[in-house]
Amino acid sequence: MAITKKITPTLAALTASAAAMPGISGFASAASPITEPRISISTSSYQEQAIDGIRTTGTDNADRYDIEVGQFQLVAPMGDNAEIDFRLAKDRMSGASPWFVVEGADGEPVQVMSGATIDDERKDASLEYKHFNDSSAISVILGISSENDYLSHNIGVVVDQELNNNNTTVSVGYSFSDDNITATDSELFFSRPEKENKSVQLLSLNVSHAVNKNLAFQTGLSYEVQKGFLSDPYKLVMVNNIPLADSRPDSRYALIYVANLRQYFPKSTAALKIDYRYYADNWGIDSHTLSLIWHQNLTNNWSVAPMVRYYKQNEADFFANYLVTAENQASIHHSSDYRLSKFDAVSYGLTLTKQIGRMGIELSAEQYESTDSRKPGDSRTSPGLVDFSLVSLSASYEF
Amino acid sequence: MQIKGNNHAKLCLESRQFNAMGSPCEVQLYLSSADMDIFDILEREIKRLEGKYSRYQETSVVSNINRVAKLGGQLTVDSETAAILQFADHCFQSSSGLFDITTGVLRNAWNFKTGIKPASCKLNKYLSLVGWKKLHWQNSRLSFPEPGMELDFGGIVKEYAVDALVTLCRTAGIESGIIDLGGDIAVLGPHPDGSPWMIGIRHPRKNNQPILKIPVKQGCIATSGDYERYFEKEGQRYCHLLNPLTGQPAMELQSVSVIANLCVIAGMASTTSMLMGESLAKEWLDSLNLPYCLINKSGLLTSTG
Amino acid sequence: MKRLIFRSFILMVSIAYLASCAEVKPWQKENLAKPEMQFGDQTLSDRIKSHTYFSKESAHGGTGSSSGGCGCN
Repeated sequence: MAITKKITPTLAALTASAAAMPGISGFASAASPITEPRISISTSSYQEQAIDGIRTTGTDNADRYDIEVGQFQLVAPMGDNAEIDFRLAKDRMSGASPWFVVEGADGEPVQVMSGATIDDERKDASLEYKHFNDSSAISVILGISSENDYLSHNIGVVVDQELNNNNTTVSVGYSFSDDNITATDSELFFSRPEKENKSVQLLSLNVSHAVNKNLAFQTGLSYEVQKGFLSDPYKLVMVNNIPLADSRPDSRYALIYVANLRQYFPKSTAALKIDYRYYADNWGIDSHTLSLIWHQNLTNNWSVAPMVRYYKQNEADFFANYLVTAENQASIHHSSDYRLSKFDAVSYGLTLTKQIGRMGIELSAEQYESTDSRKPGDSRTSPGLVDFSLVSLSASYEF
Repeated sequence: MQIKGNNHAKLCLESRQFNAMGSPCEVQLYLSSADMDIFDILEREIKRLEGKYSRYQETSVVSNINRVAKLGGQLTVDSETAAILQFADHCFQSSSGLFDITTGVLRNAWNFKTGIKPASCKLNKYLSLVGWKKLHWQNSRLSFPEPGMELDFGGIVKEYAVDALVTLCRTAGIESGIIDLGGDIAVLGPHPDGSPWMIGIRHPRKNNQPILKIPVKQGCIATSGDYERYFEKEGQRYCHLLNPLTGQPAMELQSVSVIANLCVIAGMASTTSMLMGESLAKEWLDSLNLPYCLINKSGLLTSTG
Repeated sequence: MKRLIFRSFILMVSIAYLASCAEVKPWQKENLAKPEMQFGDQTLSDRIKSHTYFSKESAHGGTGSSSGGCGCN
């Protein structure tokens, strides 16, 4: 006996409402909280490659940053309609960082690195509470990040609303961060401020949509306002061979547009993830980011995901490796920070995962390379561009 | 969990037996050796549903709803419960009010242990508390305008669990096997050689003995019978399947088995058929185009499909 | 910048329009529900990657999870 008979309208209606039950659809009809607690731990190693620079003490090539990161996460249900997500991260960083740029013997800019090796620790904690209603959810996020010279408190709220029979999700988010900077050794260095403050506000709107059973699309627009002390207290700019403090405008307005796509290929049990971002701000920076990931599921609960990412930005209006100007004509704002210069970067990586019962293990590695496309005499690109590698090993357990 | 693509590993028939939802359960699946943890996943899901919808567990969602119902109040339910209530609403409409999850309160009138027929005044008192239409139901908000009602998900949740396990198996790439939760059965797909599974229909008067074996390649089968809980008085059998409209037990049929794509549909159709009686049930099942196997009062078997 | 806002707006409206045409039923969402089909940072390693980009590049944001303030930038 097989069910080959024609389905009647009454039976079709009944089947439709039965299939809407999450256990049968295999998918919670609207977003729903997790049912079992899950803990995850992760350790990451970040290493910057040495550059040909001058270090103010010592003769070696500059050892740039090495950072070891440990992360912990607990996600747990709170009753039937809510979940909490608690995260802890601890970074330990050491190494030298770009300080200022001088004109080299052959006229090319040369990066000067900080002499003293920076040895710092960062602790970061955040707690998110997410409450689910029938077709909407609200999250409140509180976070704190602390270093010996930097303290940030932030709060965020996100509201998700499901529309169109749960095929479209509109998310509106707002976050506010209040940051205090107390530069170290401010009594020794004229350029370092004693105590400064900055605030960051971010308003974002995201729409994601299930186009068909294997394709989802997301697009979003965010607006960010930064106010206060936005300079880097540890960087200098040579202006007419005199080192001056890094000086940036005290406000920054940025617009961020994202378009992301997820395509599933059932036959090859693989997913293609494409993320694009456009960023523009009133410092004159605009930037494109494109990342592609192919997530391939394999037998025995293995998966492998190669990744490639392209990043490009142009320089800030006030970026200069160093300045030579007529007397009294020095601009108010200047920075030699390589992150404000013109550059592009390619990174590629691989993520391997294995699920063993309730435990998941993930190994992820990435190599990031800034492309030095500088032509002789081009002052828009910094000699201090960074190449780095990042390796993470994570494990999670669901109870 | 991931779908296995092009799994060439050798498949072996593995099985696991356990007790859940007050019944013996058995799952048999054709698996490659690496997939053995699927049984833990299945057992965890059924325990989750049992904990959530059992009347006997103080902390369950159902107990929570019934505490509110007893006093006559309102509450908001989670999205899964809301979807189940939505389905229950559809069942109520498609069965002309015979499949009603508020019927359970009649158990207070019918005591199957002592075997005494309730006095009509007592029965009427509880019958007045039955009726899905009496409660207000919108989105995930459930309100009980009058105190004393009860909801019972017993007629849906075991079947729902069968379907949920099927979904989990399919998600894990398992194509062949059988899931049996206390007689509510799903066949995932035929044996790897293409042959059907033989599903036994229990003899309503002979425990543990099939009256009929039917070959099923894919689909679900659920059976309702008058043999699960009952008492007999003056030659008449009074079983636990109670008609929400009259308050009386199903009298005309010994058992009905229905085959459908989803176990919740098969279960709903078999229960409703028991309450309808022989001729109405046949007509209704035919109108739905559902294959069935029906055994009437005198033990006569009718089977279609 | 104005042109960008305008373009993004047009795109979002057209997506909202598309959304009203097609419909994916709940029981067809098995593939869309997979972890690899989700948007934004999912795992701890995604998170550390985003944080690293944030501290080494000018452009930031858009990953859905705000990384909060940090002296690294």
